[in-house]
Amino acid sequence: MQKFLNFLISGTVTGGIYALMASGLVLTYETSGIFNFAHGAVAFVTAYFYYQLHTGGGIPVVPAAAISVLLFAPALGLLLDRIMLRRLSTAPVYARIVGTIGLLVALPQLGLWIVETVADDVFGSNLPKLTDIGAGGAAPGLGPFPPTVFRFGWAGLPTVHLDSDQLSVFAAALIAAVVLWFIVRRTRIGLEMRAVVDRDSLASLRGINQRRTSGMAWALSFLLAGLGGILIAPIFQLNPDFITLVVFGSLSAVCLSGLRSIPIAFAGGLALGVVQDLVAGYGNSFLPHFLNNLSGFRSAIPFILTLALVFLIREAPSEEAPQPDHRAGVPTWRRRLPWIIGTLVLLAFALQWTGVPALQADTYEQGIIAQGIVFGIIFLSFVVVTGLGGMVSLAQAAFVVAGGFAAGWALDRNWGINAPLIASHGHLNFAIAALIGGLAGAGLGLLVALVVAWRRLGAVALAIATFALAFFLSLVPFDTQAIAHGNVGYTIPSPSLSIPGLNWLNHQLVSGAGGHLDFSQPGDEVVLVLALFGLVTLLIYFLQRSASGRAMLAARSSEVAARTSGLTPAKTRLMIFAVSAGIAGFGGVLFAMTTNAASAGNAPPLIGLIWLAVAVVFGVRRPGGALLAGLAFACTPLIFQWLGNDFLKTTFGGTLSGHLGDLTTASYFAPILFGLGAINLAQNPDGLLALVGQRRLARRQRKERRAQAAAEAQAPVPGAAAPAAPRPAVSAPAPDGASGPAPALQLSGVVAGYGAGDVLHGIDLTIPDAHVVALLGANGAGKSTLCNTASGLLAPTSGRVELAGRDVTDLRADERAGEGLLVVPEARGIFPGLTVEENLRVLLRRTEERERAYQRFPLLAERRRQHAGLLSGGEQQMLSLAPALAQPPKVLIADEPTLGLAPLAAREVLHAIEELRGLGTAVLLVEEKAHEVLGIADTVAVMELGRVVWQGPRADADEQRLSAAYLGVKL
Amino acid sequence: MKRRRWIATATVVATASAFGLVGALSSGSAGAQAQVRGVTANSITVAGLSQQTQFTANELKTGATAAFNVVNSKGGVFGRKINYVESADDQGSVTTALSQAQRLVEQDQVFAIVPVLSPYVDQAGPYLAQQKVPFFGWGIDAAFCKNNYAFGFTGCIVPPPSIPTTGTTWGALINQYFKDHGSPNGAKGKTAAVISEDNATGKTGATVIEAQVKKAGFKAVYVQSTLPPVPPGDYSPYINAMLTANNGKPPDAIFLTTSVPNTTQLVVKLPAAGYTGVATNAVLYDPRAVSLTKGNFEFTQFDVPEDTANASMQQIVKNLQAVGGPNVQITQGMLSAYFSADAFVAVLKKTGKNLTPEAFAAAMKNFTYQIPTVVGPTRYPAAQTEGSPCGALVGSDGTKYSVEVPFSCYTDFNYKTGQTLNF
Repeated sequence: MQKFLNFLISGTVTGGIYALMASGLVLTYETSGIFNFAHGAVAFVTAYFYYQLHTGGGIPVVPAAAISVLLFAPALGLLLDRIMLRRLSTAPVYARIVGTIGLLVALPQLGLWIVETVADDVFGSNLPKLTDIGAGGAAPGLGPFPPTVFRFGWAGLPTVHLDSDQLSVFAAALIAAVVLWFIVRRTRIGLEMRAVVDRDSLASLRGINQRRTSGMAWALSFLLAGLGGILIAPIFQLNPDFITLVVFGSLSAVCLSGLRSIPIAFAGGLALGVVQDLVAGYGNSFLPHFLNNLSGFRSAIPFILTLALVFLIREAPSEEAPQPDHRAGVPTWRRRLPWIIGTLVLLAFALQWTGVPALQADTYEQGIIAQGIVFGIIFLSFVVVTGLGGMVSLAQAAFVVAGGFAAGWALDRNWGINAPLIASHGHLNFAIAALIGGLAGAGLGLLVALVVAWRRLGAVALAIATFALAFFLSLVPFDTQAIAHGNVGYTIPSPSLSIPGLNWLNHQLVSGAGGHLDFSQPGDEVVLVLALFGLVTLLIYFLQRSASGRAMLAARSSEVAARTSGLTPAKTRLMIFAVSAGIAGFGGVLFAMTTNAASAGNAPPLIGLIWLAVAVVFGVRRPGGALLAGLAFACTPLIFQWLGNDFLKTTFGGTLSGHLGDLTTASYFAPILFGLGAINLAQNPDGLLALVGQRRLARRQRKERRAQAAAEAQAPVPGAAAPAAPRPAVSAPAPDGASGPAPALQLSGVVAGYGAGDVLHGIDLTIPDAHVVALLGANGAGKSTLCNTASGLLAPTSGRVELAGRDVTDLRADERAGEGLLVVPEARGIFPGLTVEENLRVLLRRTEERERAYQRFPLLAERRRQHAGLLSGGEQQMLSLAPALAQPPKVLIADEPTLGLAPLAAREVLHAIEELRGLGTAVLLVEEKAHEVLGIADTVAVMELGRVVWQGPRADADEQRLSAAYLGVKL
Repeated sequence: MKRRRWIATATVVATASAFGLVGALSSGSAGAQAQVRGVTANSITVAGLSQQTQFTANELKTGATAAFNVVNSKGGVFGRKINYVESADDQGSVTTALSQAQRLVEQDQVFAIVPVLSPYVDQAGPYLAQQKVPFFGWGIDAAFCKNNYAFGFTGCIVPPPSIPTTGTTWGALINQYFKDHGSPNGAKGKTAAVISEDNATGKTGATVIEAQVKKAGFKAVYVQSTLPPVPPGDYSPYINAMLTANNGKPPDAIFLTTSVPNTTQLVVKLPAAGYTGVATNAVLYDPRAVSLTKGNFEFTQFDVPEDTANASMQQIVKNLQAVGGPNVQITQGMLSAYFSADAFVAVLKKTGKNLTPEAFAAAMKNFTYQIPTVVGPTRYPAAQTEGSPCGALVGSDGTKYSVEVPFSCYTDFNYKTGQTLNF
């Protein structure tokens, strides 16, 4: 019992580490919608900064810690928000994941590079290096070094030993959690952050400045991560991988909270500490014998828990618009030509065709190129799973290792058969073993995919699950002697092949090739792996064009739509995942061939993250991108080595170029480029290669639109009304002369649209104070686009938007909201994830204003604490109009406010709008069905195909005229 | 827009360099094809390889250069000066270690890789043997075992499970410590705990040290490989278990068979939890860790600079100071680099004037390396499967290390059968 209590107490205190990290991760997700895989990287960089200040600069603990945590970390958050993270928040969900992985790869290396390479090696400053901590291992913390140990012995309780580092973690975690919870739940900025995550476009319409909330969210999140970093560095070593692993150790607590609740994440973190201590203390007595003897099992417990709890994460199903292909319309030969030329150049260089030493590879470079092509094959698995499937798998490294082991086992075993093409002297042919490796990867992938499809995991949950899986596999099965074949792994001999025709071809291709294909020779190896790359590419080509491939793309655009059209996204996803894992497994066999060994060391789990970053930089939509990524990954060290050591130093000489050389030869340099590249290119499925093409495409589109707009300005307006009768005046009830007050809302000559096409072709519309204008039109007429343009969510290509005489065309939506424009968008103007009270609080800051709203809608007062998403449709619409009635805006734009409401509720909504008119508000009421709104409208405008084709007083809007306008008939 | 263009330009440059510029690399090395790789009439080219987060480029270079300077200043070995060109970094990855080794051999055309201080050369080792490239280093990787081109200055000290050999050294040193401090029977009748990490390496380590401890006469009351390799944050369950393993009481000695991160924590936490016995480890003898290891005992495989009475050792200190300056911080890594380079020079001398990889390997095959009272003897070919059973025990008082049991040699044995081996 004593022992148990002891573990309970010290486990809880230690759990503070996990609690701090888990609540930080949940906070970031809750306030930015991004799961920050780079949380540990931020923690490391801050701890490293503190180490430099304190140990390097000699600044005392308190000011050094304050500068690091309160200034450095938040400033870094604001900076990164400004330059990259802000854009990510609106990106497809897979791009958000990849973006933070890029940050995870780049950030620690950037910190180390700046200090250890730039400052120390180049400028000769004497800042301490990470290795100066040396075998001493421990970095400075906030407490004394070595830490002071306290003994706690209360009456009836056992003596607990806790050191100053552990205690400071616990205290800081507790304070941080309370402060956090308060900020997120009880402050204005917290409310705004949550509103943005709940519905970002509505938040803008409600006057919330998203730039400010996003910056605040990241500053807060970085502060928390930084605090964690300083606290845990002395406990776990100041090492980027270790700190990242500790953060990922807390993933199970994050899963427990479902990525929603900070208090649960905090409690989960504490519980994790206790579980770890209990397993460590009592494992021998309660774990089954075989688990107890299974090496790595105990270390893997945090990851096993993560796998078990990841199903608690529920994400909203994501939909993404397919990215335009910048090469659409380019003829096939024109698309392929650069690749053909590139491949020929590569072959000429790698296979020593030229005979000029400077233009051909030596054997070492041949080996590196072969390895690069093998990486290309491995990266093809990202083309399938991410490019085609839109999913992020962080377990590709595990599939690579599994493939290698399976092939190693198959090759090593004596099968006792002797059949041509299959086995000789009992040993399997290499090709068969490679297929077995691929199948092993695919089988493992299928297993993962089955679970994933079964529970319909979202993208973030899938990334977390595959990540935890990769660690579990590396810690337990891949470390057991039976699977890993001892410490060194299996030896994979290079195969050879003798087929008369191929021998001849190989002899022609490879300079100095022998009579048959000997793949231990790097030249022959290059030919082999390039041919295999082509084969796998062909496989992907057919997959993309198959029914399943198309189904996958359809499911990505809209899962609901795909399901209603009879496709089963789950089954398709299953197959995509298995194929991708199979390719990775097959690549693993080839990788083992290039290193002559299949071992777990070939692909440790964290390398999978770097691979993903590299693959994304060069594009995950096309096989060509994978090949380039593979070559870049393998050849970068070589290129930088050459650039730094040979080119700069020998060409220019002198110390300066020597120092410049140091910059690129540092091992930190390549990961920085790949990581930063991945963050910037995460949203672009074609990566780096597409930037030029896309710019050209954008320029062409801009030009076309400008030309079109110019043509329209000159041409007579087509449409029903134009030829017969002269167009009615711009505004039906014309303002009382030029000297009268400016109309509340005025649109003049507005042209706007999405992407390449315009939807609005020159809209003129005026809405005076205390006036209801009903805007009618069939589905697709451009009504909602007009609302978006008026509200500021969509910038017009040309034309002006004025609010009470002030030109607001260049203002953002939140700024227009500040000018007195209130928009109730289609499908209700509420935040479903916030309570009724919080919904009102967004616009009505003062209590008496909210009380006024409750008086007007007593029903809402009863549901004050309920989530708005749980209200009925009518109640939701009341909630969206309530702030307007409590605090009448200058202009109200309501987009189909009665859509889907019961007649009684619809009447109440219209009644409320009439009431607003009485209070002086100008109302633009957008409706598809005319007769409901005609009762309250002063003026009626009819839209058709992006133009206002008729407008006039309600009295003139007789049924015949309206239906004629709808149908496009001349009157 | 401007930035985009910059990125586009960078793409072109990167692609061009990936395809074309690499070509320029080969121009440097292709012309200088010597008869024997890395050997000319007056020079021998070598380079080092290590995991630089543990053994820095500076430690490698200082240690190796100090040893090479001794012969270079006297005109080299048979007129050939040893030219140390680079310290390569394996970045803690077996595949990077392999590709670095390939680069050093195929592009830099080194004759040998000296020193190799890395536990990640499992793939590089077989490759080097196949290419007939000798490599000299600290045998902390199984690639140093049963490899005709590998030379560990203390032999093969972490053999794979298929070669169940070890020395009695660590246990014997603690046994000697007890004898010197009031227990004439030494380890006889005393108890010991062995803790290692929760992975395959840790499991083997625990078995090996348990055998050593028993051989020394201890009763092993606790042998567990349960510590997570990434530090667990809280050690109380482990400390609690160890400190009650001797029928509710603490054991007389605790052997920490753990890697640096865990050891760093345990050396502080054991004394803090009230442990007054002998806590000993094999990784933390390091001037930077002297305050942490207060009250602990570090097992080293060679004599240490703190042994001021040992003239041979003090000569090595002088050699190192001549390269690194009078205040150079002498670490295990630097000493290991020195011994590796020194052993390489010794084999070069034995090989003779006609230097080829084959002749060198033949000389290595039957060779004993030793600096009396400092390191060795390390007898090849026995060292192909065994480590040299010598070492010293060092203690820290929080500000400096001192030798507790002087450098001495014991025996090797088979830890599965208990049979004593000849070394």
